[in-house]
Amino acid sequence: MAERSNWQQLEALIDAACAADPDADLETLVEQFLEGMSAAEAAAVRQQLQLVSDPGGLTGLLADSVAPLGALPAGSQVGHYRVLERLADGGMGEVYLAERADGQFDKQVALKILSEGLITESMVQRFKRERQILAQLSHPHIATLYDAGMTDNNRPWFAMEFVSGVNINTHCEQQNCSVEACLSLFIMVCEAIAYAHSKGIIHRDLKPANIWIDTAEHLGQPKVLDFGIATIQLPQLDASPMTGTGQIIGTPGYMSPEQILGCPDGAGEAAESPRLDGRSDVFALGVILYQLMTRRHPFAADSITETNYKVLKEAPPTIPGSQLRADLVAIIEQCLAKDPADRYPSVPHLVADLKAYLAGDPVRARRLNGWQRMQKKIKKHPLVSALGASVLVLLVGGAWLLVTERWRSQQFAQVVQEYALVSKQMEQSVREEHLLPHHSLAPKYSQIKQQLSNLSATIEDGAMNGPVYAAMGQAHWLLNQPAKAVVAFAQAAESGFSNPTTEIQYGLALAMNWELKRSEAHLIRDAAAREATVERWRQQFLQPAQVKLSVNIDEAQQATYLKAYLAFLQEDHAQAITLAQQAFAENPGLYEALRLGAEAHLTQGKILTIDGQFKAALAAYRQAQGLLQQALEIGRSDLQNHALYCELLNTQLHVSIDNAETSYEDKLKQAKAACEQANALLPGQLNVLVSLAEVHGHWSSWQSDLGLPSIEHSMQMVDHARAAHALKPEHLDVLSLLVVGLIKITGESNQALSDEAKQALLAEAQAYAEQSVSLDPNDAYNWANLGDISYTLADRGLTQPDISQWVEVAIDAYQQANALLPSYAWHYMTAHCHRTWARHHRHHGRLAAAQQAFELANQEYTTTVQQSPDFAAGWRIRAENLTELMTINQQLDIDSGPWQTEGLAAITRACELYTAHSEVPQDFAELVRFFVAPQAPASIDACLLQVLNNAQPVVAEDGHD
Amino acid sequence: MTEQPTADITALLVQAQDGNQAALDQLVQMVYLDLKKLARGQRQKIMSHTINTTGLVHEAWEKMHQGGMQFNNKNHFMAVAALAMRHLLINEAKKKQAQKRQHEGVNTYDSAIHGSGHGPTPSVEWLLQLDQGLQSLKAHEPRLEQVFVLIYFAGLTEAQVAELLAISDRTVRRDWVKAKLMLAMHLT
Repeated sequence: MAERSNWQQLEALIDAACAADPDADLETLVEQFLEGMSAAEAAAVRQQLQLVSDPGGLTGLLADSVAPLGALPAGSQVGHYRVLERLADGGMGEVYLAERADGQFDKQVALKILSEGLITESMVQRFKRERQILAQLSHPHIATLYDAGMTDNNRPWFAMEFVSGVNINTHCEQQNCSVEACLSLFIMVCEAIAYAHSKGIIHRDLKPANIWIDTAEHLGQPKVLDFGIATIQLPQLDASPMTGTGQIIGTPGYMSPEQILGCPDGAGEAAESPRLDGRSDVFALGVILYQLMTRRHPFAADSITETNYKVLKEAPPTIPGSQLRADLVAIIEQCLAKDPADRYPSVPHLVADLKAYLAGDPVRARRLNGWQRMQKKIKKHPLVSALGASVLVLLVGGAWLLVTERWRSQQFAQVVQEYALVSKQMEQSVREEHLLPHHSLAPKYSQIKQQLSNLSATIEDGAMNGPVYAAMGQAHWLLNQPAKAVVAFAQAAESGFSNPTTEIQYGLALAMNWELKRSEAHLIRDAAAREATVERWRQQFLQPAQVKLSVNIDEAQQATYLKAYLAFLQEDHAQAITLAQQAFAENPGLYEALRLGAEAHLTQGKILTIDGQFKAALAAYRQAQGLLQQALEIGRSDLQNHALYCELLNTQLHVSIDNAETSYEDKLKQAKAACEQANALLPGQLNVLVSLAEVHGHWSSWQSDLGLPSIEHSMQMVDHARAAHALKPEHLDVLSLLVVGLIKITGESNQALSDEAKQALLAEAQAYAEQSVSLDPNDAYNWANLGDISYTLADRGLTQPDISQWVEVAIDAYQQANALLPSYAWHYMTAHCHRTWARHHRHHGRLAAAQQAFELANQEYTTTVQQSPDFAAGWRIRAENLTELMTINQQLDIDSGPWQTEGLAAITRACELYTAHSEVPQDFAELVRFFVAPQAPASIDACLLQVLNNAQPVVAEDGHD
Repeated sequence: MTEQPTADITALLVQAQDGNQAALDQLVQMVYLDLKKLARGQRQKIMSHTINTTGLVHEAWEKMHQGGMQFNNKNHFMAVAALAMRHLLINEAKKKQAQKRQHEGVNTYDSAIHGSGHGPTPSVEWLLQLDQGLQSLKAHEPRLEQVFVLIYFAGLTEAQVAELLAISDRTVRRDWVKAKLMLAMHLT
């Protein structure tokens, strides 16, 4: 009670304070509250406060608790049993060899102790019920359950018949059993399962590790272990096929599709699920039989997701007829049917067929399967091999065979079939390649290219070309060459070869080409010209693509994915995202749907970025990233996955930089890694190279901003940009990257480069800049690039006899830029040009010309700071230029008029701005001294005075100032 | 048409959010076993007392995420993990207490939990008292208890808690300060 009233008092205090001021400082409030207590009381509360603020102190408890787990020393007692030695342990518990402690019987037992858990009352009840049922199982091929119970700390344990021997797989391999010998062992297992089923008990976790061949007592007799234990524990989350022993719940690769699909097997209260029955065990038996007969796992894969996917969707690899008789293959296939209704209805049916097989009688499975398989091929399982087929196959399947009336001649049907097979094989092999761990795709691509040239070699005069062109179209599509694919499909159509399948493929190729063309059109910076071009591509590619896809959508097998894609093409991104999500839910191997969703999010993000809604844009990018990472888990070597990831991270990087984020080193690293992965997959993709050049460019700037060496990144920037330039010489972004990168390399104190080498690089940059201006003279930045490179050349040419060619080009370029896109920046650069020219004149003794040029520079600097009054460096450089102008005026006996006053005003303004950002440049004091020296200290501006006071005193002894 | 293999987890989560206690229990159980295994892994890796509860919860999330088993929302997972972590610690504390009683007189057991080397070290009894305090707090104002458990046991940030419970950052901050102080008073 006292506690309640204390609590209420405390709450009232805090709530009242917060009501008065929502931003009230809570720490202070707590302090105030504590001050109301006695000192001893307050100290005690403070100590507790520290404990409840940080769970760090609890770590020891965990460390202690987990260390000794699983290590029951010999002699420990569990129930009535005494532990002798540990046999095995695994994720879910341990198995010990044990004996009765009270000597009631002398048999050794296997004592299985499960991991502890949160045992609720209802679970304990069920555990007891199950134990009773299990105790009733008495069969020569089932390891007997003797006893079960709970340890003090809530760990269920089971005492079972101890079987010493090896598991069925190992046994058959070691003994090199004949098919017949294996089968008779297997039949015994089946009979044990059938017996249990007759008692209403399903095993749920049948696998070779649970079937042991007793080599000690009953020579060569199988024993099924762990019956029903699966129903006691909850399903394990990370059941990895690697964990081996002790694995008791639903093992991936043996679980039936209905188990994977979340039939709550043995979970919580829903134990008696109507959907899970003996046919789940039939499936597991099928897997075991497949393994026994082929020594391979029918659903082998390197991740659980993939294994489960294969169980759900894929037919197991066909067993060659040479290896097993067709009847046996049919039996296995019937066990492994995805739909329980297509499996043997019960284990005795399976046993009957196995016995018939051994006796040489015809088996039931085969009679059924022939017809069923046909049916399935056509209708039921359109996605026979979703993980192994390409998107095209997914989308259009085997519909190649549906040729138009005109082509119904037998000879032609044969040609169609032949090329359909070629296409399908190509696509499947490419997608399989995409699913492998990250590796180079180059060999695969050259193989497809070879096939492509083989195909074109078979083109002859006459009517048979349609299917060949269609196959070529697919090959180009696979090689990411949509333009060529479009041409090939158009040729196929021209030959009169047209059917829904090729129409959809044609549509996809057109759409992909539209996306490519449109992204290229973004390089056209003139809005009107760009719109016109985009409109042309829209009519030429997008519109026919939309028609072809929507007209044939009913023929497509992945209609949802296709609808999502159509929504994406119509720029309805929200709808595309929803549909793509749905498509992936329908087919969990279709990572292309995830990628499509990511692309839609990315596009939304870009639109938001343009609108200046950075926060929303970043959220969209994060969504895209999540989906894409998922897609990359499946399509690990898919070029488009990696290329899109590279683009996405690069875009995020841009936004971070534009948003003036200060620490984006992680983003730089991530973007670089992603783009390098994409590049390693298949070197020479234009967009990836451009992204790599951009990332290194950003990295270089970031390093030099921090005063760190940046040359390495500048070099990489140029290398990648050069590679991109070789692929597409007229790419304006690439030209710009080259100019900037080359200037960076030559500008930095790079000892490795001789002056001649630098000069050569700058000449190269100049050529690029000129090229970009001639490609698009309406773009200010192209002119600015030309200005920058010309200014750089001029600035380096102090000792050259003449730099006018460069200065004039530079000044003209900045004027052009200013006309297209007015900015103080171009005035600033123009001023630099004049100053450089002035210094050149001065160096060569042409003082009058120098004086005039300094004056011109001053005019431009004045314009700069007028247009951008907060530009600190602008004010400072203006003052610097005035010092040079005033010095030369003195030499020429020209009155400097207002320059002294103006210079003082300029440095005063610069000082204010620098101080506001606390970044006064080191040599600023020197400049201040130039202007304030003649004045009395009293009249000096406070800011300037501080700069002077902070600066190092001038050392007069050197004899020069 | 086809469900994903992870559908059961998602379904459980939905049920749990709808107040289905059995579903929540089941989720907590899954995470519980995972946390335990991860703690053992951490222990083996570094052989010291530096197991970090928050780190564990995040590790569990990463692992689940990589294993293809996905909670749709990380914060929801964290909420489940917070409960699991609390159960795990309380269970350990109870077990120790039981062991201690068994060994009473023999004095083999040091009831203090080995701390991380700084600050006051909580004992097993302390943790059990905290558990009691949380029960009282829940009776007093359920949200205070919720906020505390999420931050203390799963290491959620205040912003994450705000999102999860659909309340403002400011409210979370206030609740967290209140809950800590109230529990501290309970513990003295």
